[in-house]
Amino acid sequence: MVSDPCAALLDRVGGDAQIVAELCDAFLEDAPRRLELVRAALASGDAQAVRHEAHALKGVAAAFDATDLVSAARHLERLASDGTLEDASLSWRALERHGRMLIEAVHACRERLACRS
Amino acid sequence: MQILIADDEPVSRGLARAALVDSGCQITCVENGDAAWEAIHGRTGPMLAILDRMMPGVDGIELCRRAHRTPPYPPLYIVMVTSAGEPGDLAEGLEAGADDYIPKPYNRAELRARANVGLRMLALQESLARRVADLEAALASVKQLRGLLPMCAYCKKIRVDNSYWQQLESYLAAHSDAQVSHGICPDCFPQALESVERDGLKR
Repeated sequence: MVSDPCAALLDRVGGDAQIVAELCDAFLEDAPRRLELVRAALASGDAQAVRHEAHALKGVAAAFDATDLVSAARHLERLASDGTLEDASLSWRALERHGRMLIEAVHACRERLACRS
Repeated sequence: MQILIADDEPVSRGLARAALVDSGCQITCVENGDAAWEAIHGRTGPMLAILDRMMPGVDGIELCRRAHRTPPYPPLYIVMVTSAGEPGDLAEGLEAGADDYIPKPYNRAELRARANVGLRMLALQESLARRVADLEAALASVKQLRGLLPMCAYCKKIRVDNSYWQQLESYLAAHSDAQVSHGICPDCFPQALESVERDGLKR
């Protein structure tokens, strides 16, 4: 569940809305690309790349307190570390779903910030 | 002071930069381990390096190992960024040579506080290095006086190279903190007196 991802981020930067807006922009540019990289790496069986991209998504999801995405990314990262990517389809679906939800939530939050300024 | 932020993930990188932008330090952000190594290896002054554990290219652990195989000056202080709930990462990072760690997700106040500890350590190391250099220079000067001095048996000048003989007083002044004051010892006094009287008669 991602209620207001910017609230968590705002707290982390001491209430500076300008910085939150910049970080949202960076996320919106980076996250869809990373999801695509995970998908491509899974399709090609590149465990190292899956592990790396899932790890990065886990880190950014934590910054937004997006716990479901953190869990999905952590699970996929473990599967990649263990070399058991054949069991990864459920994890991938969870990662993609929660990833898209976070992107939508951050997008909405970014628009609210733009309206305020 | 320089601050290096190495993280391939832009939100974490931006959070770190936002936390440290008021530090008065020169901040460099890089997106992979190879660029981080270039910055660490080529540093020209004390550096606080905030390194993500996992990056494309050289990872944070390997960066710590490499950094500790190179000369320790200019001083380097490494804060390893680890994922929360991965205690293995933390132990591995500290064993590889990281000075501190911070788990993701971090907030601005926490990162600032840890960075300030690092900056204080760097200032201390820099000051100690300067003191050691001063002491080494002083010690080198003292050692010169402990060595074998080629001295003229008659006029007591010191030979400083093959063609130049230096007065003992000026040699001591140049190679130590000693000052020379002049007097006449009892053994030389009769001879000195005779010389003065002789000069007086000549006039």
